[in-house]
Amino acid sequence: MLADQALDRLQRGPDRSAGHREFTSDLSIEELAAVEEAGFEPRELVGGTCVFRVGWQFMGWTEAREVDVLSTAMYESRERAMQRLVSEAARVGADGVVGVHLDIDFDHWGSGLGEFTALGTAVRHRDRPGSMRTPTGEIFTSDLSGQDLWMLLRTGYRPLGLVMGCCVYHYSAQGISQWFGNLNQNAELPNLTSAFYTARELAMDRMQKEALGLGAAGVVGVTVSQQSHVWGGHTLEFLAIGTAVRAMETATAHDPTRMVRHLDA
Amino acid sequence: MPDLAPPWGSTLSVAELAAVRSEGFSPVGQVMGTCVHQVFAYGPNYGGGLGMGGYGGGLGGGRAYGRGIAGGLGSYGMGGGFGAGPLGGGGPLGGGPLGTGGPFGAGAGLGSWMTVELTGYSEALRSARRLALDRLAKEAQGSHGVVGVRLRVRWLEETARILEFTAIGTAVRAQNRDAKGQPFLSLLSGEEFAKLLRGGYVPCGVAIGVSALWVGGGAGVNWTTMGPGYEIQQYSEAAARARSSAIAGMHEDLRRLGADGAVGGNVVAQVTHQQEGGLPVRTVEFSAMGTAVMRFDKDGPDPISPVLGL
Repeated sequence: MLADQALDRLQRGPDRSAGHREFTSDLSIEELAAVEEAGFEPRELVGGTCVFRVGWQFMGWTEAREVDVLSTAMYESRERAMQRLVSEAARVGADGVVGVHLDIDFDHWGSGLGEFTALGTAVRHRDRPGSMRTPTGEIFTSDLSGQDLWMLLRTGYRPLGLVMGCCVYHYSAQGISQWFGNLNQNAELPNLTSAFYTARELAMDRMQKEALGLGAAGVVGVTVSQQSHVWGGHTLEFLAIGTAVRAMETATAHDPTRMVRHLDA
Repeated sequence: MPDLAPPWGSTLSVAELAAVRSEGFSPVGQVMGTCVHQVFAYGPNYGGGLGMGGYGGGLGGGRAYGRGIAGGLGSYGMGGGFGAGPLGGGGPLGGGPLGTGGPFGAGAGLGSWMTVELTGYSEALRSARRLALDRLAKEAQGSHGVVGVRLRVRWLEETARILEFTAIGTAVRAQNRDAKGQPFLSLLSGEEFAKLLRGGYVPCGVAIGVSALWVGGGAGVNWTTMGPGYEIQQYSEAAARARSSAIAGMHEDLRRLGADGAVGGNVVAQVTHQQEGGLPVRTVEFSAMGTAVMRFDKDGPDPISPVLGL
């Protein structure tokens, strides 16, 4: 689903005598330099949006388990935003999208409504367009900065895709006897430990499954965050996100890394 | 006293000053441009401002404007008809032909499913930014360009819909060279300016795009019930459309400047909502701004080599 305006913007052919179209980007100056040195040219600032009513399901006060309705909604809506970002990138002939940020806004559209946004800069390989697409010919996505992309390629890996896994978990309150038992004591709260443990593992496992599906050798830059968004206490989303990578088919030799001592730090 | 030139003012930090000088530029002085602008989001667009405030449900139809009819109009073909019902009073205005852009065209607004571009409002937001930047450029006449431009937008009086746009930066000139033509504007810090030049680009201006949409509220959202979630297509489309039009605005600026691209793109999305005639409506505002850059002949950019900091 692309807005008409997006189509106009993305399909506009070369309209200058120089025969190229100007790019937009949210790249910093440093990223621009790194991306270009890595052999890419920026094409366009691309994005995807999905406004989703995330739903709700009844959870008992003492229930500790995954809130499937929310896990599905949080994943599905991010996934849709990503798909739209990729289809915008495809229209400008991109090989990949770098610096992808995922954002959620629960404040503005109405109660229960979340706006999921993915935004990044579409890039294309300058000399061999298409060569940096994934082995299956897909556009790669990555939350790595331009500098990190440059470093990743030098290290002998190529990005395959942004992978993520999420799990919304409802953890129970302490039982009354547990509460009394722990009164004024330093004690582990096993039900919380196990809830957080399980939820985080589920999120990481789902992310890893996505990476497996892409044929990745590994995932770099994984962050696992937890947020209660608008659900108040006892309900948390665990989100694991990173960039799936695989080794380059042909390794290129580079100068060795030099060590420097900064005098100002 | 060998040097009696008046001292220059600048917004540059010491590191920025060093970086700018390393590229052969010196500061000329601090420059500024301001524009205080009244903006109306809900008035009929053909006036660009005053007119029916649009809060009253009955006049809601006035906010529809020629090119503002939503892409989805086809599917809701009867915009006028829908409109009249829920808000009452929409009838007389709502009956106008759809999509023709007549003064009360489309009677749209009233339908809870419509998305309408607030052309006049976006244009006001954009041109106010432009005015502030142009005034700053005028102050910088005689220099080569301006680095570190900061554009601040703030509500002076929200109820009176008054916004202040102020741009401040530091004018610089290349040593031992005459400045001809328009100075370039850039949102870059001194260090970024130096890195950009070493990367084989020069800044050539600021590209701006602003888009605001009015989004009707109904959309069949059931706010309370339990159960699985679903997407609100109308809102997704509206948000995507605002973003795309804002970026398209940047492209216009880039072409006008003859630029190769825009970097440091800063995109800000904002949604506000209120009740109109008992129904929730929203305005989605999306602004995008970046520094336009142009390649220049150079023996390739400086190579980058990795270092491991100790």
